[in-house]
Amino acid sequence: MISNISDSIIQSKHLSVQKVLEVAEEIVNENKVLNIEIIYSRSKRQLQIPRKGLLEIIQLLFSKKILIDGSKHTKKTVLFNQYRRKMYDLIYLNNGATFSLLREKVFNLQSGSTGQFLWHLKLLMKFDLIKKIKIGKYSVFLPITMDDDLGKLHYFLKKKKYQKILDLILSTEDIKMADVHKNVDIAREKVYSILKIMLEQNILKYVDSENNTLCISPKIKNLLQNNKLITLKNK
Amino acid sequence: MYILQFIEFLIKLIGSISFFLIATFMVIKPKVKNIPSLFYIKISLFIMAALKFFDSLATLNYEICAITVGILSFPAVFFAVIGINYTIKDTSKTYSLYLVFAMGILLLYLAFQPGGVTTIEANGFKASKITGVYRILFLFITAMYAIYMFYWGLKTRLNVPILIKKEGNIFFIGVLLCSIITISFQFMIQIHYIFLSLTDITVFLGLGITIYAIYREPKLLYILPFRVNRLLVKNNEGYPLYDHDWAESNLNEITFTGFLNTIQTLSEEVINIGSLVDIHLDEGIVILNKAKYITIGLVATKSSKLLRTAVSHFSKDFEDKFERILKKGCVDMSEYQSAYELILKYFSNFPYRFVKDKKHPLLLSYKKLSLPQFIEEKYKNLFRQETEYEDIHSDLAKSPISLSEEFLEFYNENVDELEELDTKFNILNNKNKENKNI
Repeated sequence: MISNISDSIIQSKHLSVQKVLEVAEEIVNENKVLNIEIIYSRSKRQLQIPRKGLLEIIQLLFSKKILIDGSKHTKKTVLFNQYRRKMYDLIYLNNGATFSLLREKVFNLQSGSTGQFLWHLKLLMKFDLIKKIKIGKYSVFLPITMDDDLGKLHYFLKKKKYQKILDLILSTEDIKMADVHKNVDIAREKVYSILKIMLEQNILKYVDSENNTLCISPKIKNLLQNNKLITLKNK
Repeated sequence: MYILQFIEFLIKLIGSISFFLIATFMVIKPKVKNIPSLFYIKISLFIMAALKFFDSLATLNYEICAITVGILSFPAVFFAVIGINYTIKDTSKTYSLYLVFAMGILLLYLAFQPGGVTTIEANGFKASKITGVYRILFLFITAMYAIYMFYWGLKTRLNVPILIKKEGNIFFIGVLLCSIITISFQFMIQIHYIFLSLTDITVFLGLGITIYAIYREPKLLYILPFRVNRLLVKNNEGYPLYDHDWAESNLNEITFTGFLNTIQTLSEEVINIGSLVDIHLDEGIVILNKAKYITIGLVATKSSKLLRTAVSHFSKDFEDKFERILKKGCVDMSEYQSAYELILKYFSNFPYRFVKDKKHPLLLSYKKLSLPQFIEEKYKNLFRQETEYEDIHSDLAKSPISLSEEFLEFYNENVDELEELDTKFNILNNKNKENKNI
């Protein structure tokens, strides 16, 4: 159907443009790949338009964005979209980003709909540029090359309360759950909630489950050392 | 006169007449008459015609004609290099020109020194030829010209847009013949005298083919100096009236329209009606022209007097052509589509560069990817705005086919979390507003 095209474009080159578009549609309907070579050769054969005129028509169709680039997306071209580029950069620069951060910095409600926001994220995931993990009820998007545990660690280290608790547990070999609250200036319920989340995410593990003694899991300790991650204590 | 002497004389004379005819053709034919970069090439061709004429007389053993051949080679090469410089860089001044000038002065000096010309007997007849250091310098200057010509031809051929590739190939063949092949034959004269006649034939043939390619497609001369990307016309209220693209631009749309809007808001004290402003950016240059009813922005890789003149004339003609509807404040873009005639008038020589390869896959933008109906309906519900929907479809057409369903699953998994976040954000926003009011 050519009904969506501006009438003035058809008028400007009259019947010839319409005929070339019909040829292009015919090629698409045959499930063949549309390109300049096939449009030109078939139009020349079927329509007998002189070469110069045919090239002018093809140029006009490009300039009016009726003919557009049809190459499949690659990892590189997916990032040509400005929103996807910004999301990708934000996730990499911040070692992970939540919906909240992406909404705040890149794609707020004025930029577009929720559907569009999720569409861009899905495309980045589809082309293996980012990945998604779940930390509690929150989704976190990480660079594809980042280890999941490292991503979780980065997520927790961005929050002061989590950092304080991690610092405390790091400074001791192990510590009882009840003692944590006594050594940090955080409400007890919050402390327990944080500890629960970090246990679920394997940041912490039980040394002695009967006494509720906790320690940092060995993998996380290694990650902290190997990545030279700064905790409040180190700062 | 011997037969071989006569044949050589005739070949050179025909060459001379041919150069003269090619140069005259370029002067009288409207298609190539007014192209600035060809002006100097035309002068060079007229001088080459004279050079060949004197060369033909030198075959008849006139020494003064042989001296003149050497002398004329300097301005012939000098003007040819200026012309080529304009097509490559849109300027005449390059190091190669200074070198040619220096060589030329030396050549002129040597022309009047004794021993520069001598009578040589070959193939049974005597002819006057330039010899010694004079000849070496003459060969050097012509070799420089040949290499520079070949460089121009090769660079043009490598950068030629796909739609004019055929003319680009013809152009390159012509340049190859009149440059590298001719100069190779020049050096092979030592092996056999026949190569002397062959150089005349190849240089004439090569130049003829080159000029034919340029006549057939003048865009060949505008491939190298700069690339024109986009032209946008807006009225004084900021409504777009006409839009034309030659290539994809790196310049962000928001930045480009921002500059246009800024120019529009500037008062007449700051910028006069009809004046041009160049804004240099990393991504290229924006040439802006503020007219009485409209503002025009042109995005290119480089500024040039030619482009500025074209924008200025286009602007004036646009206002003249659409004065009635501009005064009425018409903002319907379809009313201005016939401005394409002005694009053909002032910008017809700038090539289009949308794709690099004739087999590069394309899409018809209005033809939607056909999805199963139930998926299509869900997408229509999610993306109610037409532009949003079209963007998504464009992405879908370029992505793996499974993405259409995978996205719906992803959406269902995450939409609740997002909506909760948006609700919290709205509540926070409202609280902040209340606090401010208080």
